[in-house]
Amino acid sequence: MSREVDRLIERVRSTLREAPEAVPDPRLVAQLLSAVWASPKPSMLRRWLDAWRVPAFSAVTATVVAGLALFAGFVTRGVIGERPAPEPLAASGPQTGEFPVQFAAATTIDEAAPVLTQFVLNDAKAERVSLVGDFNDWSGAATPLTRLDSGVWTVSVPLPAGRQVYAFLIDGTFLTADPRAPKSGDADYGREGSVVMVFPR
Amino acid sequence: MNMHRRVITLVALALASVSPAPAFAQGPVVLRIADAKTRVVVEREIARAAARGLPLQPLIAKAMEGVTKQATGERIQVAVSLLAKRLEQARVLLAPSTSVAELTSGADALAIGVPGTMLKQIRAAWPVERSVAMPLDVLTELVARRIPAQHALEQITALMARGATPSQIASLGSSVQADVAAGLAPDAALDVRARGVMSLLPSPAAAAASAPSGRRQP
Amino acid sequence: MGRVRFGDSPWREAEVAGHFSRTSLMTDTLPGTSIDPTLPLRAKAGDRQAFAQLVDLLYPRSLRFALHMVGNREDAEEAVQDTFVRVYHHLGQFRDDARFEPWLFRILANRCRSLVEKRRRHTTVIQYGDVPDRGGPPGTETERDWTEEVYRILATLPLEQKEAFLLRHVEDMAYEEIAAVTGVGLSALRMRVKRACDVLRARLSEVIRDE
Repeated sequence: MSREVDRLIERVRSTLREAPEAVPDPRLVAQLLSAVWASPKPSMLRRWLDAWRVPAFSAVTATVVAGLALFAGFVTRGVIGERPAPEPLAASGPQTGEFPVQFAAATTIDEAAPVLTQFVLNDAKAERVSLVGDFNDWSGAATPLTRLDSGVWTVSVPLPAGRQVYAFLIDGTFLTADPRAPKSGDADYGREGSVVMVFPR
Repeated sequence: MNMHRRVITLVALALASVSPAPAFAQGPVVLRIADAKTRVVVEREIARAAARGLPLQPLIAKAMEGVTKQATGERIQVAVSLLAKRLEQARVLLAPSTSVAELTSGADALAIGVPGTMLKQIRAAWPVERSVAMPLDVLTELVARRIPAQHALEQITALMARGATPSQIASLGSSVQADVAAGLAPDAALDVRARGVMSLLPSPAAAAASAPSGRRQP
Repeated sequence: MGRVRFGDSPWREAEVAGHFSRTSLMTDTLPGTSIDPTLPLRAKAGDRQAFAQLVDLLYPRSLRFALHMVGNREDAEEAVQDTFVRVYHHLGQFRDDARFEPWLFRILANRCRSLVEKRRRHTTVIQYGDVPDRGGPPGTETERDWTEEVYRILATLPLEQKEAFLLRHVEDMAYEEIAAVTGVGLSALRMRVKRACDVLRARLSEVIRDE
């Protein structure tokens, strides 16, 4: 009796797990990501405060911390002690000498915004497939594709608009171009990838 | 309550804020290259490029591309060094543009054989505040589909002058790609597709009236 | 929390069977859903690609749970989409040492509960929707009857029982994780799962007898 009931619950589990209508519509997933990228981000301060955890302390501790902080501030600003040499203000252009921080953006925000791009590879025999390109420093670990039941591998990645060169890395070792896309040419290493033109939003 | 505590601590630390120290000064780049000798040589190459004010990101990507493609250390070093040279050339040719995207697109165009003067012509076709990364990318793509660079340049700059958007210019590249894949002659595909995009644009007079202020081509 | 004693009741054996079958079920029916624990941290640090991967990996499971909870595709999609948008905007609150799935499911379960409540105010019958014909091997007719019956019974379960049953037996969560998702104590959760199992058992036994 009890064995039969066990099998019954087991069968319910399988039925509910394999619900065919629970397969996501890729267009809705893409829409979701586009909506998320387009939505206003929480303010940096808010995100930082959320992420930053401070151990509990009493009002006395807070006062002492604030006092020490004030002192440290005066010292480092040169109000107390020796005045440090003036530092150049952050320039908007490239900095020399030190490693450059970042170049000034010359593009508008819309043109620079990443655009969700779907990649598909039909390879039922592969055990692992990942997408590699300049956008992920050609890292085989960064962008794995997901295998669908049909044996088709897919991933949707936000990419900068423009000409993107990419390849698929199969089972961690075998690099192949996308059979559906034009070839990129590769004068540097002699192993061609593929090209996709990513349209700006 | 928790948030309150965070704010207090934040204020305390703000009081201690130091003079504008180089908070983001980076240390040397460390690459995930297994072969120590190659790693040292490539890191040195990247450090030299960085000292010249070149963007690091494309150089790191080029080195890691070599690793993934199982290239020899020597080949990786040469590839990184050549890219650094192209980025430097692109920076001169595309001045005053300094964005990583534009320099990278310029360097890619040079790599495929686009003459340096054409980069200058592309830059001059749009006001300096507009990125020319997309027109450069499409130029590279058209040349990669075996269209002569001069022909590609003429069509792209014509669209730019008529006020085409980066998206419309991207569509030119992508349509020609598809046409060539379907067997159409590359030059013919370019002419047909450029005419198609052109037909979507406002007349020259309307484009001139609505163009943003700034340096404009006659 | 003491263990709830079920003596020799069938339920206890079902629990044990569940534990034994967990590994095979995870690999057979949920490929790729055990997520890389660094992904949420990278997403939290602003890595969009990591967030996109989280969506790719967890959207199917989330949709399945939502579908069983709310009973129709439209509301399920709404709940899932809304959940991922909320997750994205509150990643800053995700604790680095926490597991991501229970955190996601807590938001998702809340969304599903609110949607069901909202619908209840407007309609008395919850439609599960048609079970699509899978066009499978011989015996499909019986299989479809069975599936329809499972869905029908599930729709009649009290929401809190259904939620606990789905999290335990379909999403394969440990009771401690379900407690984190629902905010309900362990013994109460075990009782909810047991009651759901009892109802399914009693009503499905009849279907089995007919087969």
